[in-house]
Amino acid sequence: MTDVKTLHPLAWWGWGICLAIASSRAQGVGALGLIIIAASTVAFSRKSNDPWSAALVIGIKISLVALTLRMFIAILFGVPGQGKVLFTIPRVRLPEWMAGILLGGDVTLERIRFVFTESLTIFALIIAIAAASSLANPKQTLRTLPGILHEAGVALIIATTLIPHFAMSVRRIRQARTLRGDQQRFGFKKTLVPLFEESLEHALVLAESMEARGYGRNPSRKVSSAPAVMLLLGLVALLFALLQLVIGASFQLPLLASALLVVSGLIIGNKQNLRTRYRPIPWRRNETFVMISSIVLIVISGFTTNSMVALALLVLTLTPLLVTSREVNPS
Amino acid sequence: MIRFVNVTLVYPYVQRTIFENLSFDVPEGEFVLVMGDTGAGKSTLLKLMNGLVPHHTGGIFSGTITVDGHDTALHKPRDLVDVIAIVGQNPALGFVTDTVEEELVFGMESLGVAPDVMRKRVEDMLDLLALAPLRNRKLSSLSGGEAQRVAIASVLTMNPKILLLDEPTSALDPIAAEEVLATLSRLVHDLGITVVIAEHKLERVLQFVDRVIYVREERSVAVGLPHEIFKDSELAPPIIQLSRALSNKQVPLTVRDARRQLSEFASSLRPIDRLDTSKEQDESAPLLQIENLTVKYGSKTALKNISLTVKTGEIVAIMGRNGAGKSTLLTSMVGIREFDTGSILVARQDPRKLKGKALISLVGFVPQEASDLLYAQSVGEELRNSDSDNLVASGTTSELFAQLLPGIDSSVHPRDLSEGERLSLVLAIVLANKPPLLVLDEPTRGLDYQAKKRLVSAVRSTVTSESAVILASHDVELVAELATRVVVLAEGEVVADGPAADILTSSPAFAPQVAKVLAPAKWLTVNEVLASLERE
Amino acid sequence: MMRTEAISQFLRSGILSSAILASASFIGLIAFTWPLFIAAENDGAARWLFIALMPVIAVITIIELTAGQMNVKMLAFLGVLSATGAALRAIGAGAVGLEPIWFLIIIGGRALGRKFGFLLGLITMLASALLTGGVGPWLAFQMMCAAWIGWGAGALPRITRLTEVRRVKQFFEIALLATYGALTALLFGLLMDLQLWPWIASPSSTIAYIPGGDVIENVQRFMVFHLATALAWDIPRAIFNGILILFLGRPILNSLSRAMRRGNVVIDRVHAREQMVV
Repeated sequence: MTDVKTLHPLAWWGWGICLAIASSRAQGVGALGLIIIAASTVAFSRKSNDPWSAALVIGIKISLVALTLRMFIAILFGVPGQGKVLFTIPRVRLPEWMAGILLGGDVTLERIRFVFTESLTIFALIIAIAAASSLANPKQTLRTLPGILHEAGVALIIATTLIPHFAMSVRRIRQARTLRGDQQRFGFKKTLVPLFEESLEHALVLAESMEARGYGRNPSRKVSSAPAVMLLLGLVALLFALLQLVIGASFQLPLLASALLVVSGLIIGNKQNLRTRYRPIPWRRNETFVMISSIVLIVISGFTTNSMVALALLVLTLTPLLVTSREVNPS
Repeated sequence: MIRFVNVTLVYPYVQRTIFENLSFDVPEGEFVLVMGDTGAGKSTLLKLMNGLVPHHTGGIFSGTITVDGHDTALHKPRDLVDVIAIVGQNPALGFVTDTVEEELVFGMESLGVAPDVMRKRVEDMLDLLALAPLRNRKLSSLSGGEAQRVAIASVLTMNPKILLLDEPTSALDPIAAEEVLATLSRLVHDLGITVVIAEHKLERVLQFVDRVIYVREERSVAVGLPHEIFKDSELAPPIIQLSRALSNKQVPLTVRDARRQLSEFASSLRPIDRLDTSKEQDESAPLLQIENLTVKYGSKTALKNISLTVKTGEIVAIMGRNGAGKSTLLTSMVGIREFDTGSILVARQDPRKLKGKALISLVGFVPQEASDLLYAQSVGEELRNSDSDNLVASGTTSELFAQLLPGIDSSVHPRDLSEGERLSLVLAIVLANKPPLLVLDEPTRGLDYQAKKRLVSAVRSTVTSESAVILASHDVELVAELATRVVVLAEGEVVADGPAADILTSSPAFAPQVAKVLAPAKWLTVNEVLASLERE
Repeated sequence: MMRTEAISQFLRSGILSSAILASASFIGLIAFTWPLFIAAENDGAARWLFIALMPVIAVITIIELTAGQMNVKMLAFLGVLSATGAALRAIGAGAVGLEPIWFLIIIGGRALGRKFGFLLGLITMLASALLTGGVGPWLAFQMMCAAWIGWGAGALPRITRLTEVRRVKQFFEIALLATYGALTALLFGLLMDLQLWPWIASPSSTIAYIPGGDVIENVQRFMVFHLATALAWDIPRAIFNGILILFLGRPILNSLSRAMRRGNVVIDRVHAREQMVV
């Protein structure tokens, strides 16, 4: 199985989402820490040098900020509690129009430990998604979208292809600006107006080119409104479910009904699509293997942590390492 | 194959008639050239043929156009993809996807072509257009010629009978242009596809052409065989101009024809005696001094150890393939690019250290995308901004502009000007400060003969004993007309540097037509030959 | 026979699509605000449910607005404008969130209509996150918020009655958009902070929401949280947005309408008529 460089993009996303679900179920610092370390290991050792690979580092930074902020808030705005007092911040009571909220007070070891454990869940959640998004090539992800998302997919493909192009245009235009004797640092007008003119011209040419290549000859939806009606009914059911949720009643049944309606609406809508796909990205045994192990991971993550569970968590999170190898683009 | 009957077209927002009562026929399987000045409606004519005009752009249209029996008024362009295909002026702007292979299948996927058929057609197209080695490449990494071939392949996958191309070679260097045109000619000969191309650079295409559609300024259209049209057309490539000037009856379409017809004349012509300007220039001061310049992008070396001195009074043309480092060299010498080693001095100052007024009164730069310099809402506002940016007396720029190009309404939006008019505007802005060094990057893209003539006279008049001009260009005929000296770059190195006549005549790719006809004598332009005849 | 025709006509009239967007948006709004009024029993479920629900809602709105609804020009404009927006995001002054991205979504929605604005918000956010690695649980929330901002810019009243003088009309339009831009920047900061609230403010802190608690008290607690975390960032962003629109709104709106005229772009008919009046 060593000939496989990377997985099907949807398999990466599936792996990432399963990790996220697992971390929402996992209890304790140990299990969460394992998931975080294993997911970052996979992402660091398998990511390419494309721009979206930065997702992992960005994710780590954001989760560190979130962690710090959370700790900071918990210390500053702590609810008084029992336990070993580490240090004390002078108490301040905010004015009545701010609900008379208490600031400061004793900071206990128990509270810090509790808040830290909680924060790790968020950390793991962000890392799981970031790992998947740094590993799944967005352009290939767009290629795997079902037909009902075809137009959106085309718009996204155009956008993701052009972003680096426009970023370069911005640099070019800024250079040109210095050659008109402009010394302003930002000068949005002199940058944005030419950029806009260029991009609008681009849009018109692009539209012509697509038209001249037969785009839109087969509309993807027009035949019936049934899927849209089902979507609407699904959303109404969902609204009802959320109402139940908010008032504290049982919401599971309407939620299920709404899911059924929405999914079947989407499936029917998708059937009306007439487009074909050139050399679709294959879904191989490797992908199935990773998906199965990720689902097992979700099940195991609910158990209380002991050394066996920890080992299982580690191995299951790391499965993509077994079936892929590093891919480096010759840039 | 293509039939126009009484076609009239009016654009509502321009409020002028584009075509009136146009009727002609294009037979099947021919290589057809559409020629005419910019703004005469060449692009519009092409877009009329496949229905983009008026279906896509709007406009008031009457008459009938049929392509292969289909009325374009009744079919949208998207319904005619298997009959007629079009490749736009700048194919890279029309790319929808990211890689070569995906671009080839984009049209077929949305038409719902069966996967196995797609696979077969893609392989066929990759072979036909020699794209197989590029199949996994990113579109953004392609050179101009490659992008043009990919764009052609991406429409040919739909098996059209007619292929329309709008200025396919205008952005290409002579070698890449030759490749694209040879490919097109093969499509005509091997597959029987009717190819219609609009083109300014007649000298490049004429040898392939079976038929010519001539769109004149006053919007009348002549259709005929090349030797009929070129008997008395206003537009003509240098060899035909030469042949006419010598009152030759036959119209030579290829360099070979011309050589045969003019062999006697060529041998009777006295060898050229150019004024030796090198001595004069030895005394003039060096304006630009580049020493051991090396520029790297990551691991790639764009310029390797370049040394170059330009003196006042010179017009230096930088030539070379796309990607040879021309733009890098130009942007380095105007101080907007950092470099690794070496030094650049303009009038003994490092342009990188200058800013604002000090920089622009030393060097004037017209970038490849000349409109990058424009940001105002009207020509008049642009000219006023220029006065204040340049810190010159108000009215200076507009006076200059009026000299370069008289009679432009100052309320027009700069983007509504034609390519040539926009270039004149930018040139006026850049020249407002009277910089001693003027640098132009590819100034002739999309310019017709008249606009080029204006450019030549504008550049000539700026060169005094205190100033010099440096331009990068693919346009061999323009360089022959204008340059006193030519520097050829290849892979970031200077491979040739010398007087224009020596360099241009010694290289097969960069030789102008007249030089090819009258070789081995070192004549470059028709005017030169005629002037020498007059002297006798 | 008559009846089925009437029904199908009703369905095609766009009311169905508007209803889908409206209910999706309402669900989206609940996904932002639930901590203020959630019942204590379902608190744990709500946390995870909404974070999972939001991407689904965003995808449904994308499908509703794109599948079979887009002509080729709209698609090209959507792709190119969202790329421009995302590229602007990359060059923004950075640190304090002074991103010109909002500027583009607002102007785009204004020039090209409500529904296009909605879509532009969604796609711009998504494309820029996909390419630059900003994908995370917050993405769908950002997308919906951007979509509302784009929609609102298109839905703002058009000044036609007030005065006949074109310049005055144009000035009022830009002033209106600039105010809108500043307010929505504040609103965006507020909503994104609201979405973070249950995650960042630990239940063991005095500024966390109280499940099943008094709505007013929850709002007060949130305001303190907002003050402590993000407000300092939101105010400069709002000012920046307003100023950017004030200075650049007119030329960019002009460019857009010029391009639409040249390209004969019709986004939707009602809107096109309004465009002619201004």
